Amino acid sequence: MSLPPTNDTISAIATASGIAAVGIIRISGNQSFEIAAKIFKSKKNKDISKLKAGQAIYGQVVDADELIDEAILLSFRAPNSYTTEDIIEIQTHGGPAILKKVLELTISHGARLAQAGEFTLRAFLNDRIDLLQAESILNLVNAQSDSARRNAAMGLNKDLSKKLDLIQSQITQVYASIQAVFDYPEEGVPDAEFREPLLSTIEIIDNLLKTAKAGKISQRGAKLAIVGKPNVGKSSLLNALLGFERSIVSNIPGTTRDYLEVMLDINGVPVLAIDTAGIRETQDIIEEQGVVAALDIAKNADLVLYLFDASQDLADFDYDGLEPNRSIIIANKIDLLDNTAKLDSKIQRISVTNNQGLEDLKDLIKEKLIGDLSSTEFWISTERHEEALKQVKVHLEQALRVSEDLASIDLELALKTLAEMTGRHEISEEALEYIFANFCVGK
Amino acid sequence: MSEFDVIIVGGGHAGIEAAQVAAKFSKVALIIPNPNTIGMMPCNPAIGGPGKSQLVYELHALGGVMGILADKTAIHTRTLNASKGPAVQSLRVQNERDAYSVEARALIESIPNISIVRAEVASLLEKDKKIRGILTSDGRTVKAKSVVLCTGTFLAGVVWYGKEKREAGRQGEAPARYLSDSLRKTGHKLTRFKTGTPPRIRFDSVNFDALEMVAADNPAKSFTGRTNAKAHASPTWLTHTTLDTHTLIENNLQHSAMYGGEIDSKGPRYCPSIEDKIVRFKDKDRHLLFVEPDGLETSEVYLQGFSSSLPPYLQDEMIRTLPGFEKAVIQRYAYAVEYDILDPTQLYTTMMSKKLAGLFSAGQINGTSGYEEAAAQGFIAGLNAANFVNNKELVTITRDRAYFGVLLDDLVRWGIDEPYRILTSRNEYRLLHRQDNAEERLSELAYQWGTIDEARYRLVKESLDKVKAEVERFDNSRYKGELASKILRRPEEKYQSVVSYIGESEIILTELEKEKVEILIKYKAYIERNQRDLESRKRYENMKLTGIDYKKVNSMSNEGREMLEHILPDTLGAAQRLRGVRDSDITALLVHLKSR
Repeated sequence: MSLPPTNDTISAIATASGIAAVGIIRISGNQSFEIAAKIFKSKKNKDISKLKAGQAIYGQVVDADELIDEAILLSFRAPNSYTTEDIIEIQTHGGPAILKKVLELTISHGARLAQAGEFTLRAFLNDRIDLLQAESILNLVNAQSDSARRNAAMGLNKDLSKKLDLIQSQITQVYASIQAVFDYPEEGVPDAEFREPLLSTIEIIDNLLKTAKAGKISQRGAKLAIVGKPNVGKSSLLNALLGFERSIVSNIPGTTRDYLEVMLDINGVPVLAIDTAGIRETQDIIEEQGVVAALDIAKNADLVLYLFDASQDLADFDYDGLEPNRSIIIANKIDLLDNTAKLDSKIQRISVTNNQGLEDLKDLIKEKLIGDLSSTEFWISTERHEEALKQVKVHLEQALRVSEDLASIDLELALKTLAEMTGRHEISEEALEYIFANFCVGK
Repeated sequence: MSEFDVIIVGGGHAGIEAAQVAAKFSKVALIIPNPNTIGMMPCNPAIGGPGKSQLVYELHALGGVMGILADKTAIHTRTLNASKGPAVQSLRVQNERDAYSVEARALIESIPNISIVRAEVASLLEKDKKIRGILTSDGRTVKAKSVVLCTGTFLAGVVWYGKEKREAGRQGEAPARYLSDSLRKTGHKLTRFKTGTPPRIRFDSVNFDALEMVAADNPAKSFTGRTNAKAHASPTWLTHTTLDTHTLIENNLQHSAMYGGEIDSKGPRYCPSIEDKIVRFKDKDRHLLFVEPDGLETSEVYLQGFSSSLPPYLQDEMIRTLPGFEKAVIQRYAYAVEYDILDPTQLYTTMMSKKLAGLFSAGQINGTSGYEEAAAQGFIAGLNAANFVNNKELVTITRDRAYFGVLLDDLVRWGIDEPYRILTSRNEYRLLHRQDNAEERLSELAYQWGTIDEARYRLVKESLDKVKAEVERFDNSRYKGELASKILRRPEEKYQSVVSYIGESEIILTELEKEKVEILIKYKAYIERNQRDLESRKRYENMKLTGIDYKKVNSMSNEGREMLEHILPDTLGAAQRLRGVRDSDITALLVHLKSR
């Protein structure tokens, strides 16, 4: 077993998971200001990378040009921070999807996903906390990581374990074959292109990653946005999905947003539904602009319901511009329509008032969110696993592109990353076993 | 009674390095029953190969002599994995067996601080848990403050020809009969290992026309930059087993000591006997064999890949089933050898025993296989034996710096259950530990240790500066608007081709330096990543664990504590690599370290 590196920049969601008013992403390490500068735009155009200590900056988290969320950034400079390193904290409006997005941004700009207790470990290594504190905190961390490891060992559902084992042995075989040529040149190991099987390994990983969305949704809930013009029946639909009449007043305090959020259970899938009601409803806007505004709000949702009045003319609506997996177009009030034939077949027909088409809609929502997976197939359900598998995939893709001596290093890194999930750390020993079992080498 | 600072027991590849380096700092006695056996090559007449050549380059950078001896006596050199990239490229040199031994002995005899003492060691002399010298089998006492055991396969050695066995260290030589007991008495645990050699064939009985020839590289390569005129004088050859060989062996397995059940100690997977190969790979209808000359005017060839523990009369028949060997005559028969090893978990990475201060060991006695592995350990053990005498700090090399470090770390942290051979795959930093950059990695260390002189150190630095300057030129020169370094990163481009676009460098670079420039530029991203990874763990590698009483560390698992107490790792980094040590044990250790 080994402790994590100590000189890179780490990042994690620092608030408890779930739906909180404010969520915090913490980044620690010498690159934290640089990384923050790439994903955070100050309202007053301040250079984030040169911020002094103790600043609170209002601005936006952005992915290139795309707005992710409005947020507040706090700066801590070494050595006056929890870890004694440079630290940036970004406070967003919470919501698991947004927090996750911000976290992913930090990672794509060079941070590493922190392990459980890693901030505390750094604080301790850097003499930031005293021994008494350290012992109690580290015991806690150990308890957590031990239980995390138990989970990793036992909690990984059986199918996932099997899949990971398969991936690991496929990579080991390729790695071992390449190494066999290196370590036993001229000894009759066929000097062939061994890397081809990696393509199918990547496919397996892709399929696993596809379940990541469903897996995480099954754990933390999906974010569902309902958008549409005023009076098309958004609130009624929300109430209908909720299953009983209730005034929706869960206006989240402390946020500047005016949307409404409510937790639903749709055929067993936990869903956080966001009704865009209240936004610009009083304004007189033309339909197109309304859709654009709704899109803006909905872009972080896992699924967007576009609600229309069935009697409305939808000829101009741009179906092709929508991501099919992330959207459902719904015509409400079909009971008021004599002839539904002219509605496009892609459109879901319902009548909230007559309780018509709602069950089909629920099925469709479920299908779009988690596909046809049953709950036993939610293989990847944590960020860490998803991140690890993505990393494995990157190494494999790289290994296919580069010369063999470099490829073997990428494969080794892929195996190391997998080992963190599977606990099978004896990479070189397993490779040797494969070599001696499959090639007759040694003089 | 004679008195020395350091005693080296044995004059094989470990003993030679141990003696020559210890002699730089102390008065050395090299104890050996027959000085003619100094520098013998009892296995194949070759130095180098994957992982091994890196060790030789590193050894040379540190001030060892194996590279010099190998280059002086080379008759065939070959770069292996030439097309596979610099991380795994390695040099293999075929040597004139007798010449190697003569050169080695001449070198040892030329060092004034070394006295050769003809004797067999009967026991170790110890007092107050410290070594004091040795007693010879003919009753003489040789005193010294430290002792390095480089006894190879001689400890209680038993040689097998089929089911016939006799006590021998290797063919025709007496074993070390008494030392095992003495080691046990001083608290050491011994295990039994086994290895084997193939038969040697009369040169003029082989029909070389029927064999596939492997030409030597021309120009020849070298470990030291100095090649001898004969370095590409000889080819090697290939032959293979046939179905007749396989049938013959399968029908006679019961006559083998291994398969008959007489030997049950562990043999190396790296060095399987021909019986092993045929039993384990039933679907293969032929196995490749290497025919290596012993020298230019040799009387025999070495048949690599054909080691066997079958009786001699069968070996005669087996040989004649091989293409080109139809009329072959065996000059020396294949045999298996069983011997005692010291469980290497009883050693520190300085190669000193944890059980007896001042006692060091190196080479096959520690369970490794191979001349190069032995020489590397011999160098570290010899240097530390002298340091021990001179009250200087004992030194080692960590695994992030060199193949040396991987070897030392692997040996002491896990112990081994078969003869250990270095492999490139054992080294997670192999892209940084190339044979081309051994000097720049290790010269500074060697200079600090006093094992190379200032002039040589300066030469390395100057060369390094030239390489750096040239890399910088590539980073700043453009051709058709594109950076030269970027152009060189394309697979089809070479240093020379890019120079033809941007012009020759003002400084004159050697071929080796040009090669380095190319590697540094082409592999930049990977080298940097490897470097970062290494840096990120440095903190743990620098946290020393010397003198820790593990009983006083709170909240440790029993398994973790036992392992740590047994291995006594040097650093927190090494502790993390031990089996059975948990994360929580490491954090407990961290807390303990901070509270000291």
